[in-house]
Order: sequence, then structure tokens, then C-alpha cells
Amino acid sequence: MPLLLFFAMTATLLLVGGSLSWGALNQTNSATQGNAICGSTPPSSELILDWAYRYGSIASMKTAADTIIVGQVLSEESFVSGHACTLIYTKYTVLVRTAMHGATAGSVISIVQTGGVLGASRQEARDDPLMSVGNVAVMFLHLNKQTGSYAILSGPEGRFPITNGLVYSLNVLYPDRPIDLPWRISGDPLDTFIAEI
Amino acid sequence: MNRRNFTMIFLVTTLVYGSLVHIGHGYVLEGGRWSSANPVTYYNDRDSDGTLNKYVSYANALSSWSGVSSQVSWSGTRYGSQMAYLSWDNNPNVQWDGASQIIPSPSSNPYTSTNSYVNRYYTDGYADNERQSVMGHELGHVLGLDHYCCPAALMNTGTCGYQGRWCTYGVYTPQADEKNGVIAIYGS
Repeated sequence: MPLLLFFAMTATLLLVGGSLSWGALNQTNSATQGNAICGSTPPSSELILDWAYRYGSIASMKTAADTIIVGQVLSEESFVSGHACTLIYTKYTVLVRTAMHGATAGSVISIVQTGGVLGASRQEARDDPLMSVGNVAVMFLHLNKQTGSYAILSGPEGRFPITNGLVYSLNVLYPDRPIDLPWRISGDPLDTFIAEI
Repeated sequence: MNRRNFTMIFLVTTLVYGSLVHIGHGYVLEGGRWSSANPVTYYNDRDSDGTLNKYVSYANALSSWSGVSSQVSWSGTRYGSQMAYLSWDNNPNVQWDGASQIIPSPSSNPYTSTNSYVNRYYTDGYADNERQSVMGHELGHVLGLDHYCCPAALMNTGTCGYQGRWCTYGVYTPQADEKNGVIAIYGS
């Protein structure tokens, strides 16, 4: 009987210990997703991003977007990437509240933004402020068919945060930042904004 | 109104307007700098998969900034002080083709190091001069220049599309005003 008890306790310890180790391993993997060789957390920094393509008008974005939604950020997970392992990205899980084009209301999608917070390190683009859980915005999105993730069209161009039912462009919400946009949206009612898209 | 008065009003208006809009100052400064940019040590973080030809553009971009000021020079090595790492990512989930991190910040004095990235998801498909326009732009940030939206300038934010540096204007080297910007920071 004591021998049986010993085996039972040992088995329990191994199971619990094993699951804890696996959890820790998974946590490490999620923190370094995208580049297996990234070992340490990169330094905090202000990011300067240069866009491959600027749309210049909401009409151009409407034409280019695979998906246009009103989305709400449900969760976020940051990870390190880049060949030099100094870039932080964040993958957001976003609930599609309203689908204007190319998505289904009520579905959940992934959006990647450059920058994020990992431990004590915070990286943020000057012209593309980080999103956070609970944020709601009109988003013009590009679908990467290989990964299934979405990118916001040219960062600050394709995101219009919504506060109290009113739509803003990022250059209005962040007047002290160098956000070069050829428009200013200063609190348009959401229904009006959507009708104009 | 006689001709003399008209001429006077025209001259005064032109002078006042010119002084207000700073005609000819086509650059914006980050506000920070290296303590001395002579030299800035760079390390070209090349890929090991045999695509080194993609990085000829970085060599050309470095050359395009050389000689702008006698106070600015590049020294290529793996380790050193005032390190400017020239690296890359390959990320299809974001829409930037170039990015720079200035440590501790773009407005700090002095800079301690910088990390510049090209996003090969985009730049591997670019023509040589188009790729150089991205790499030269990042080196402009490394030297202390900010974005300048959106004329025919290397520090123009976008590569293509609306008033794009390359696709609209074909710019891939520092323009005269941008060279003056570097001289304004480090001297001639």
C-alpha cells in the first residue's frame, strides 16, 4: 500500500510538473513568435515606419481594401521578429461588429500591427499609435492569404477610431504626433461615415 | 494704383510670404544626432541564403550619403561604437517597406545606436533604384532627418501611391535640401 501511494504521488508530481513546464515553454514561444532565434527582449524605442504605398484618399482605400469593418479589439499578443531580433509586433484578435465589405459580422479576425509591449519594453510607431483591448475603429484591411492575418492599409491611413459613436482620424486624436494624412475626420457620426464609404 | 505702388506691394508681399513659408528649406530634423558622425559604424546584416545582390542597394545608399559633409562618414564593421545596424525582416502582415529605430529616441542627443530594417516581402520585388530609395531613406533617419511630406525628396514618407518618393518622383538619392539638412546638423 505505501508503495502504491508512492507511485501515485510520483505520477501526480510528474504530470503537474510536466504541464507547468509545457505552459512555460508555450509562453516563451509566444513571446518569440516569428523568429526562433530571438532570445532577449529588445529595447524600448520609437519606431519610424515608411509605408510601401500611400492611398491618399478614402475612395482609394475603399477600392484597395479586401475588407472594411467596424472592429473591436478583444485581445492582444506581442512577439519579437526581424533578423536582428529588435522589432516587436502585436497580433490583435478583433471582433467584426459591422462588416461593410468582405467579412461577416460577428466573426473574429487577426490583425498585426508593428510595435507592442513585451515586459518592460515598449515600441510604438510615431504615426501609428498602438491599439489596445476594447478599442473600436473603422478599419480598411488587407488580407494576407498565406497567413490569414490582416494588415491595416498603410497603418494610420486605414484606421479611424470610434469614440462615443463618433469617428476620428488619427491626426485629429493625436495632434502632437507627426501623422501625415491628407484628411481630417473630427468626430463624424458613425452612420454618416459608413454611408459615405 | 500706379505701377510703383503695385511693384512695392508685390515685393513686400513676396518677401513676407517667403520668410513665412521658409522656401528652400526642404528638410525636417528629428531633433537628435550622433555625438559625432565621423564615422558612424554600420553593420550590414546580410542574409545567408545567397541573395546578397539585394544588398548592393545598401552599398549604393551608403555611398549616396557619403561626402555630403566632411563630418559624416561610414565605417563598416561588425562591432564598434555608434552602431547603425542595417537589417531586414520578411513580414507580409504589415505594410511598411522600411523602418528605423533610433536608440534611445529620434530626438535624443547623442544617439547610441540605430536599427534600420527593410521589409523584404516588398523590397525583394523592387527594382534596384527603388530598393535604394528605401535604404537611402532609412539612412537619412540614421543621420537625424525626419519625414518630409510629400515632395520629390528622399525623406518623403511613402515609396509608391499618393505622392510617392519613388513611383511619383523617381527619387532614390538625397536631394540638395536634404544634404543641407545633414550639414545643418553636423556642419560642412
